[in-house]
Amino acid sequence: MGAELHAEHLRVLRDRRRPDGGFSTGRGAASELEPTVLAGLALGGDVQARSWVSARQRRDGGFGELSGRHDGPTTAALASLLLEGGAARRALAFAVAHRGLPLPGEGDERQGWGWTADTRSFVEPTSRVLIAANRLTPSDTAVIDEAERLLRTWQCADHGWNHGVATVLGDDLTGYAQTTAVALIALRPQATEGFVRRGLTFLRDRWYREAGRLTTAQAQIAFRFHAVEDDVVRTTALLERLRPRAARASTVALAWSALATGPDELLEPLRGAA
Amino acid sequence: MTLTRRELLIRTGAVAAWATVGGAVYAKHRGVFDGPPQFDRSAFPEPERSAAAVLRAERYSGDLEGLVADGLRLVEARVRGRSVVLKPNFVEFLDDHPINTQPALVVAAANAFRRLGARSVVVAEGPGHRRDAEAVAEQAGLLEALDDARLPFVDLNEAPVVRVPLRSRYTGLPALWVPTVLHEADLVVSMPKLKTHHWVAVTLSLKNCFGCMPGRVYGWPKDVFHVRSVPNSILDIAGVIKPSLAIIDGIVGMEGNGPLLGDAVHSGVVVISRDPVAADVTGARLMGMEPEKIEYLMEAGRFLGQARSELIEQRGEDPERLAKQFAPAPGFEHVVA
Repeated sequence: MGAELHAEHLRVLRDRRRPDGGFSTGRGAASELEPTVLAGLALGGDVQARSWVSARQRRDGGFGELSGRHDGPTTAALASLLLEGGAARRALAFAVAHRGLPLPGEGDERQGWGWTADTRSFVEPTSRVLIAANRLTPSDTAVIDEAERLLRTWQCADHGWNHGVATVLGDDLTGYAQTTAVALIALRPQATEGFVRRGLTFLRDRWYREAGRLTTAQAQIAFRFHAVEDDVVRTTALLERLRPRAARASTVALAWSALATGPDELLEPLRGAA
Repeated sequence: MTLTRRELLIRTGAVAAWATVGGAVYAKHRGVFDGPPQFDRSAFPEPERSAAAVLRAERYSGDLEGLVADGLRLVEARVRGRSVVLKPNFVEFLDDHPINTQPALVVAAANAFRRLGARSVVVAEGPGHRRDAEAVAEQAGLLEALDDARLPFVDLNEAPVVRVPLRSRYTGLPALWVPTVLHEADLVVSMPKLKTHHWVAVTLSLKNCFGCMPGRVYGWPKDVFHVRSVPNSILDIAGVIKPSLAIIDGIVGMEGNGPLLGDAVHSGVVVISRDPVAADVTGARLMGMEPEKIEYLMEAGRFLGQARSELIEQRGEDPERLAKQFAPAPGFEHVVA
């Protein structure tokens, strides 16, 4: 079931490649960095996608984007997973250097990473930097420790992860399956830590209640990384059920689905060096 | 629904009681927005007299389509031959909290627009709190409802975008990236839930425009706009989106700790207006709030629509009679009428 599904995801992805070699988020849009990077990873380090990304990298390691608002760490960290050698390291360095604004109650110092350079630090962008740091600079413990510490701090009372902080105006926020899955992908090297195990329990209890393609695919990768085989089977079954909607899916969600249902080697860039 | 079509009469008399109070305090509560205009008057004409229709609907069943169609006629909405984008509120889904515009009302509105001759109707939303729009729409029952009604759904977080220069200056941003589907639509219909809100007192058709902003450009939960202050952002975003119609789902609203964690209130109303500010002023009053004390709403009244109660003609039901006291969001007790 998984192999056939994976093949179909790849077929739909290939059909979506734009004439310039990149990928857009959906029909009728121009190529953008995030869908191109993810499609490139899903297609096994696709040369055309990598070329498209390389061509948009600036000397400082960041990227020129269609909207001009992506000059933050989020896409640069992601791009570092598709690029190679010095280009990959420059992309990660750019991401690391662009920390987010502090969240309320966390002082004035910039720490962690946000969606863009002018937003506050959040779980998913910080997780992306952690994934990239685990892969490219595993000896840079300062960055890894910073990301891990923040993820630990931001864990909600229910042990999942919301966007950023765990409480707002005194209210406990609930974890989201999708955000939790991304955090758990990033925290694979810390798999034995208690807070990570509790996050995994949350995700196992929660993912099927947020049954969208993106959430399910990212949850499946988290389950694969943390060796929860029965939930891998269940997430695959759900992705199978979502198959009729594949043509309508965003390229980002489709690429994550292809990664989730693909062979282990496709996940290597997300796995880190540990 | 207790009101028949024949009973949907224009009730201009209903304005009087509210206007007396509202007009008197209008000038006193500008608060943080005191000061020179932060918008180009050439782009935003002085708001004129306006109208808002209040319709009674007890349940999310029965002839909601007919109710919406009647409401659109009451406010003289021009629909025939026009492309319509319905923008409901699916910011998030949580069990036991009435966060979302009810899918049945979204479908009813779509069918009403079709019945009145719209060229096309699509439903579009960019959930603010969750990246996986499919998951939110599925949980909330929206996807199934849209599939049944053969209505396309556009995820505004992922849709193609176009850069639109701002003609107002509340956030300091020079332009906003707006989904093309909204920019090119003839009618953008803001379809919020009638709710209180812990940052800005009430969230209605203007605040609902937050969901129009693409998350992949501005992050989640549209964080660029939180950093630049929610009230400021509401004004700039609504100034770019310029919703041409508002349909507020107040059949079941939310009181207290909105927009997510509040409690359900059966209010039994739908508000329809061609003027989003007039719709929101009416919605605030239906929740027992004094719109004149809601600063962003009063500022919006300078350029986005009519905020002065005495200049808003109330049509359909008498809103004063249908108003139900909602518990305010924490910190907004002073807004209660």
